[in-house]
Amino acid sequence: MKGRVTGEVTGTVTGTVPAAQTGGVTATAKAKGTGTVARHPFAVVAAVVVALLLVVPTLVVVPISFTGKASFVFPPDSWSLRWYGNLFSDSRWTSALRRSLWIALLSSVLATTVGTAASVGLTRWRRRRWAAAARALLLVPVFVPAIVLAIGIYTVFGSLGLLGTVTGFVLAHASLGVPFVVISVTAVLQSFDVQLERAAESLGAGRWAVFRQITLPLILPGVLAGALFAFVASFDEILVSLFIKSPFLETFPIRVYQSVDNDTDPTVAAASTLVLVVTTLVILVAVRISTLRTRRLGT
Amino acid sequence: MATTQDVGADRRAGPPAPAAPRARRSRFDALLLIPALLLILGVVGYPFVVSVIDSFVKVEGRQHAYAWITANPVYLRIIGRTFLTSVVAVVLCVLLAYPYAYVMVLAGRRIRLVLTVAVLVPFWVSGLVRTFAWVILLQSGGPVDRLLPFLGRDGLLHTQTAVLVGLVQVLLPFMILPLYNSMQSIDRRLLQAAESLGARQTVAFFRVVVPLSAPGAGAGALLVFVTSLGIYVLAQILGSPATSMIGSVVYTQTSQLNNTGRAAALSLSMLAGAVVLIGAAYLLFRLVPGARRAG
Amino acid sequence: MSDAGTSIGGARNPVAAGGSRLVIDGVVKQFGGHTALADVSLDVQPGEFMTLLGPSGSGKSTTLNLVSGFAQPDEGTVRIDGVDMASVPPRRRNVGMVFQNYALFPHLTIEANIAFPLRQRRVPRPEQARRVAEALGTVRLEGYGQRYPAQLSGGQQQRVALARAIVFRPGLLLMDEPLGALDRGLRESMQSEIRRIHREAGSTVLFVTHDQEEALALSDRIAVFHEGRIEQVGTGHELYLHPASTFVAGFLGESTMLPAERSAGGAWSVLGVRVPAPSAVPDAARSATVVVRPERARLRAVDDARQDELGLSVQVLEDVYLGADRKLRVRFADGTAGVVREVAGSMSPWRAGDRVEFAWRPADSAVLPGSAAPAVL
Repeated sequence: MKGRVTGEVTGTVTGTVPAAQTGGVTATAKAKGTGTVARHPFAVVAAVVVALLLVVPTLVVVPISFTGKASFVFPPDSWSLRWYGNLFSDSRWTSALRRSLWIALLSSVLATTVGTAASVGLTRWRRRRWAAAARALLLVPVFVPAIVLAIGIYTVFGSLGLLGTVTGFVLAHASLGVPFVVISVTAVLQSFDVQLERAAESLGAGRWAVFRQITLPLILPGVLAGALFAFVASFDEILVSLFIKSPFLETFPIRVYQSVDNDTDPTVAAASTLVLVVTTLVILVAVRISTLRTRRLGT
Repeated sequence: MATTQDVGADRRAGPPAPAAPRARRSRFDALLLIPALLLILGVVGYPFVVSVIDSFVKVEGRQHAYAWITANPVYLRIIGRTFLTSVVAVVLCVLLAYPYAYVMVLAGRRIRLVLTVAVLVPFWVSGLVRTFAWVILLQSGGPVDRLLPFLGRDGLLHTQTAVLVGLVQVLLPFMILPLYNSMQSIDRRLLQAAESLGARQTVAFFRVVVPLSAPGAGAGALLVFVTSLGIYVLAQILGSPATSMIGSVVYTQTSQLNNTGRAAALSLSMLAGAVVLIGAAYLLFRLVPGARRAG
Repeated sequence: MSDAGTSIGGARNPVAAGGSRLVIDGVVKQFGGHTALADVSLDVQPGEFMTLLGPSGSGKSTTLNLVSGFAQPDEGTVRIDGVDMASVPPRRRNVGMVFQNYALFPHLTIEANIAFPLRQRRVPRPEQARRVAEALGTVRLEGYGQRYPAQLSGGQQQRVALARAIVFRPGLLLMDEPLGALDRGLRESMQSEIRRIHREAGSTVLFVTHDQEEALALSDRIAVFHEGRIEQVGTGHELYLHPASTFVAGFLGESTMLPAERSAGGAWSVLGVRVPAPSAVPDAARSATVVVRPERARLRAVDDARQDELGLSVQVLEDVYLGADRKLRVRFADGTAGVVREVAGSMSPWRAGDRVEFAWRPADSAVLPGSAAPAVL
């Protein structure tokens, strides 16, 4: 539900992290900025409230995951680790988790490969109108509500025998992931200096060598961001997955959903905490890497 | 020299032979698009066409799908509720996102970093996990119920409010990030100029920041709106049958009743409504004088 | 330094020892409906430093692109050492290129940047390291190998770009306004670096600039471009003293351009003063332009006429003292602008506002066919 749209803002995010990190603006602007913000007490209060609204509610899953009782009562009055034990021993949870990671990995690789190739093609194609049309087509999955896409996929996959198969999941998730890759890779390609490719060519590099040694390393942040988005988009995907699942092939989000909907089983809180912690770590690492890189390249 | 930029332009007048290497190269570049286009056309495009056809052709329960919809006003009401919920979600997101993005832009480096992480982390954390958190908070006897007992007799869970609260919290990052991006590119000197010309802070905000950041707000609004229309799981968990949105009906029709024609017709009706609404919003946006300049 | 020179002219590419010969023959290039190059021909000798000089849009960069292979001529040929380049892609031309913005690879260290062309040619590692060190020495950047381009100053980046372009010993080195982004002082020291490196490497250089001083300081010969054509090719000295057209005269150095007319009787005159019939002008021509360089003219009192000089009355508009010399701007009776330069030690007493005579010896002027666009004040 959320993963689907994530990619649209990829360009924003890849742009945002370094800017926030290195203070994108000049020192004087920063100094001025600090002064200005103090003169907007209302906006500051509103921003603090919104920040709390964004972060705090989600954190309640953490204490619940350590509760001693099989209930969602908050705050818990006793503590235990048994829900984590459950999470890692119950095969319904472990197999769903393994399967989701595997599907997310495969669909991210597929989406990143075809999406990166397409982005390079889009940027270079000299028939700009055709390129614009092709780009619009590749972005369709972001701008059409998932529920609309899900019905068609259900019908077609049904007739092809792809329902409840890993292939089906990977194809569906990868095509939902392509827009994120295209957006984030074309964003970095736009700031990529084509002169560098010419320089490499004039120095004796062939087409593949230019891509491998010059273009790819320089657009790598965009490619990795796209891959990460595509991975999360798949790992998180629930709506289309609900349509194409089978009792024999369920993904992690489906397991979470069914657990929330049917039982009062804090195992789901343990699972949620796990997702929360892993995601936060991944973001912090990504932010850190992008900072180091930005500093070195001096951009 | 500007002319060198056009090397290999399509409208070359000269003999074709020397131009060949460049032209070949351009065609090769277009070939790179094929795998992605095949994937999208195969998994999204073709199925979409199939469901459009199904919606018109399939006869389920001796009725064409669209006839079935018009014969059951309950579905039109559900479509209406879906739109209303989504529009309210968009408005709430805009109201909450503007001060946040504005402070992000104006703040110093450290504060901006904190605010960025505060919006990025929920952005990346599963919407499902965040929805589940609201179950804990809003359940009968839960923290919100105990702090604000007057809001509802059995807690807020399974109410329209719960759906909206969850929706706004889950989708807010999609509003903030594009908005911040477009605000960030506004020339700071414009603000200072506005202020030095005697405009008060608030006036400067509404006269300068709001119109210039309108494209970002538009992009964010579109994302929030479209995502919200297609919501199913969140409405299922936080809402009730009385608050059901189009997603629930579509899901039931498809996977429980196998009436894919009806499901397609419902979702396509909603899509058509969305296109009309977005088109109207776009035209309205074009009429705002400042916004056009910024776009 | 001299041993670096011999090895850079090295044995791997025997032609590079003396540089390549570049022949551009009848090249035409159009973009859309616009003609960027109309019949350009140029013969660059091995080891020569040839500068393409002209205003932006005159076709010099397009010419460079045709030589480097990033564009193909519509007509005509580009030959390097006798080989037609029509079907040779840029990477096989073995031409070193220095780009205007340097085009250093930001993700590679200085060493890796310079080693890049060697790597593409599969030069063995130890040999790569040796030649990279040598190239760093040539551009005087020893010890910078491990840094990244963003950590260097503009002038240092410039030198890395140069090292990268010569490390694979190309017979032909192309430079596209390489000094354009540097400030004035740095530009002058880089000019002498480039001269030295050219001497040591011995390769042929094709250098693009719109800066006439740079062209004069560096080049063996200069090709002056104007609207897609070469107006004149020659040494700086030739171009300055014997410009072939009013465009060359106006673009290269300052000059006073006076309109000359021929009366029905066949006598030539400039602003009413009779002048000897010019030899460089076709018999049928009715008008011509007399070009006088500022240091070849002098301002004299109205009653100070000399036998071998021609004189025209002018008013001094402005006198600018520049230390070693002084520049006086004058206006002729018809409004034409003129300029006179006086060196220290022989400066005249005239000041702005004075009415004097602008005098020159016909032998010191050039008379060119056609009329220049009048510089009227």
